[in-house]
Amino acid sequence: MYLSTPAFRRNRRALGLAAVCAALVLAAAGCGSSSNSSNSGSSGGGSTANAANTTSGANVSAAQAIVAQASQRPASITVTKPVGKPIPTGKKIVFISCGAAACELQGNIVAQAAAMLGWKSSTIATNGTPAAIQAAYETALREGVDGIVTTAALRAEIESQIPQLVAKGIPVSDASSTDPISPPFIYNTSTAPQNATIGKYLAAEVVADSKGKANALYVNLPAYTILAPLGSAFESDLKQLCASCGYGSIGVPLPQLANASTLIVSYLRSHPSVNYVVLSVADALDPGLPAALSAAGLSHVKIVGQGGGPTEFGYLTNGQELALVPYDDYDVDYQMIDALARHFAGVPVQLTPPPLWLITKSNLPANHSAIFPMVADYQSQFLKLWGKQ
Amino acid sequence: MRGRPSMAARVRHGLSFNTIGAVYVLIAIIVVFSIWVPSTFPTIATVKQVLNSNAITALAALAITIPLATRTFDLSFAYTITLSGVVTAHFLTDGTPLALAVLLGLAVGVVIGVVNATVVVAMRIDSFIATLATGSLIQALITMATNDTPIVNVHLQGGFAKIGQTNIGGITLPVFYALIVALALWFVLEHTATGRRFYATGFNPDAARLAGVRVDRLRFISLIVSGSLSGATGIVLASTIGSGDPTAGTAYLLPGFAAAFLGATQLKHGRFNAFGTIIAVLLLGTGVVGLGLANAPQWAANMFVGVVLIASLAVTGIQRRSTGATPWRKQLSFARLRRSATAG
Repeated sequence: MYLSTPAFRRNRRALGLAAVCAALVLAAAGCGSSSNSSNSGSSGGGSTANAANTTSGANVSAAQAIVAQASQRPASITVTKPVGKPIPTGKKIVFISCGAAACELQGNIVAQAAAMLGWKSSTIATNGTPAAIQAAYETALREGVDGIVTTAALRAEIESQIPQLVAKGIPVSDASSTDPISPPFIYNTSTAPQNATIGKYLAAEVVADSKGKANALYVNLPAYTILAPLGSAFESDLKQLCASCGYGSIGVPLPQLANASTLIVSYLRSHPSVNYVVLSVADALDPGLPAALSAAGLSHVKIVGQGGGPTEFGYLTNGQELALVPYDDYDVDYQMIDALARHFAGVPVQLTPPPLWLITKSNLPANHSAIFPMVADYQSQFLKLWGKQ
Repeated sequence: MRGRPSMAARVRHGLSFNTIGAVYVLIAIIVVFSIWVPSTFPTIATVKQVLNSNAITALAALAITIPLATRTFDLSFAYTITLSGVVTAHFLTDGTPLALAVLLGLAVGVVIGVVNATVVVAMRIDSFIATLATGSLIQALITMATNDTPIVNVHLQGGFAKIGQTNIGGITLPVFYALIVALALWFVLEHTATGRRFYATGFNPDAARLAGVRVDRLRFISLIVSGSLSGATGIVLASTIGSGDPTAGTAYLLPGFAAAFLGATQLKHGRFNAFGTIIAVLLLGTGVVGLGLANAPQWAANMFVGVVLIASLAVTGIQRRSTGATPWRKQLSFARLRRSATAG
């Protein structure tokens, strides 16, 4: 009889293992479906109603007003007070690069800003690992720098270097950090609370564009904790502007970035009423997404997002993407240098957010083959504050 | 003298867990998700999504199948994918005709293949370290050339976009490219003397050399093949995303190797082979799509890949031990090797 044959016995073990595998997959799917499937909102549907352009609980007029304001290219940098005292020249600063592509670009901008103040600047490249970051601070200490510029620094990561930095009075000017400002750190911009405004702009764009009939999927990169308030703000502002609009979210772990499009398409197929995808980090989540949506017959789903670079600007131009709020590397880097300048001049630093601009196909600058500053003449405005013009 | 196995025995062997364990795991996964998300998973749209979203991974994994068959690693393939895409985008942006830009992108892959082969074969540096090093050099070149800024231009739309974005009946062209490459590799590896020599080189290079196989030449060629296929993959990827992205290929490094190694447990008992690789890509891709449709938490996809890799390899291992099958290296007698090497 087959049940007593060696063939059955060996297949039984193999089948048992396959069954365990299937059970684990089932368990994963089961856990998941109860956790983040909150996209139950209707895709709108309400009746368009009154003179105030309110659609079934949606304040489209308010959303349009926010969009109109956010779509204006910022004319001024956010730092407003002139330094008012001579800024020492001859300072030696370093930019400690985080290892990501964007950080490499920042090194050049920092060097340019430093040169305008008569400072010497160099970049210490890292691969982003804690050991490399610590080594970079050690190098900076050995080189006897006067100041450090960096991004997304973690105090815990450089705990052993902090006492030396403080003892030598070496200030660190930072951006996109989740830590509070305390010595040796003197400055932080593009902070988590400041990023909430981006969520507000994106929510308004979605409500205005859909005329109160949006059902949005927010795609988060949980590893970027700095962006958590952006997601919260998007959800709360969406509900505030459009109570009847739907909202759901998924998180994409960094090791699954290559599958981001697949995960988004899967979610959209299982939630066919979703008509907007909101990307927390467009640079990372966007490449290939329009093509994936198109191949899956989901071209009607519109994409908006935070960040973005030339690839995403191309998507805007082609109508494959609706709107972006890009990160302003230029202004952020000049703000960090401005903070050092004020510190060296003995003037209090001005803690301001970077300028934000909601960009669509209609207001995208003609030359968008590279990243661009939000404030066109940001450089001359900073030079005025520094007394260099 | 033992005769040729009967047709029934061959079919039984072909369908056994030992031969296609991953297919049974795939079937189990399909059943599970069909029960769990019956409205969206068991549909043609899911089939299309699995195929479309995994075509680039399949191309990447196929690119390294031949060097792996000769027991040679090519860790630089992901960077080659990036560089060829960037180079093609660069030339298109400069107004170079589409065909020429594509050829230049392909040439980049070939050149990298030659460099890898020179370092590994001529300089006798272990392929794992050598291609790790050349990968690092390629990344440096990419950064130098692009300043880590994606290359975007109107010339990347139109004809170039069609290379990766055209779809026929909902199936995008990269799926067909992967199928064509798989067929070509299958033919070379299974039906030519060169293919048998590739395997002989991988099984036991010293024995193969003694049997008259030109081991170094085959390893040299295998790295050129992986460079060329990686270059082609990079062009397809750049067309799909619409830009020359300086980080586009990096994400395919681990999925490519995972698929190739899982594929080696299928169909050919420890040999890296084209359709085993395709089965592996489909298995991993189906799970990721299913988990997405089931709204699984963000850790589920990584857990799935890990569990499936271990389960599939263990299932195959259990079967081999139970049947007393010996590892492929031991199966090869010197006489068989010599026969294979000198055939054709």
